[in-house]
Amino acid sequence: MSTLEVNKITPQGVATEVTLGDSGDTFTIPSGVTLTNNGTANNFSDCVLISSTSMSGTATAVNITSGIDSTYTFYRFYYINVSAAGAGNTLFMRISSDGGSSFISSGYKHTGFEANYTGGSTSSAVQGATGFVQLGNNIPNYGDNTTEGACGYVEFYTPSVSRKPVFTGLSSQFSDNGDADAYYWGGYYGTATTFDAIQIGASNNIYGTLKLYGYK
Amino acid sequence: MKKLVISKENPNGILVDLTSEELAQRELDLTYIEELKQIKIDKEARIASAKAKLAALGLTEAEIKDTFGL
Repeated sequence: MSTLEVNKITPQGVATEVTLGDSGDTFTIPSGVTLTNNGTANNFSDCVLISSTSMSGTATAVNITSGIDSTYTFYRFYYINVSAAGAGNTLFMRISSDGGSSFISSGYKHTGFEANYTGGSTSSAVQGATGFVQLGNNIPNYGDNTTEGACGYVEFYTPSVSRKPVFTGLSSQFSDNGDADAYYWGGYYGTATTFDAIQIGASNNIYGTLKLYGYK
Repeated sequence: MKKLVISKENPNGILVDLTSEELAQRELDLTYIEELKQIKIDKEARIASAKAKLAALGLTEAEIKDTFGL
């Protein structure tokens, strides 16, 4: 066994790639060794961050038009500390089959169970929608308090396979009137289709963070 | 009125004006969202009415909640 001691490995000439070993080879990282990634590491995990978006109240919709394909079996889309300008906002998601040129606005069958606690009493409601996947309703008003938000996720599966797309998810929030809301939902789009883009929309301009992950 | 479009070319997003079709859809969306809210408000009103009628029959608030989940 020989040891190669260098400070940097660079592709030769105009090439931009370096290949380590051949199929069947094993590279071992010994105990105590630190591997630091300051770039992009592809395929090291079954879960990969596809996109991260910060929303600062400049748009009523966010269209994610890349990264949704056959690469992953399912996708989980997180929305973090999301609020919107104005009172009584609804947050929703739609799908597109044409790369985001248009988004489907009917034909969904969405249902969710909302549990509410005011601090003194509880209530619950079953909700339904056909115009979109409803991620939350009565989400915090950014204009009232910038420290309040809705957090949650929606999952979708095999978007490149022509099926009736199924959605699952949950959210929790400090509602616009100060209650704790937990919202669990599921549903589907009623026509078999592939899709390659999603839209997150609200009644008014949106604040917060969106992160889309793919899972193998 | 704008949308933020995330793409391979613009991974951090680019702000784009809504088209006339998207503006029209947004108006439909706002109407639809209000309809959904009204459905919820109407249901809550029916529940409140039912609770009041049960209370008038002599049931306590705890009895109504434990028995009927209201």
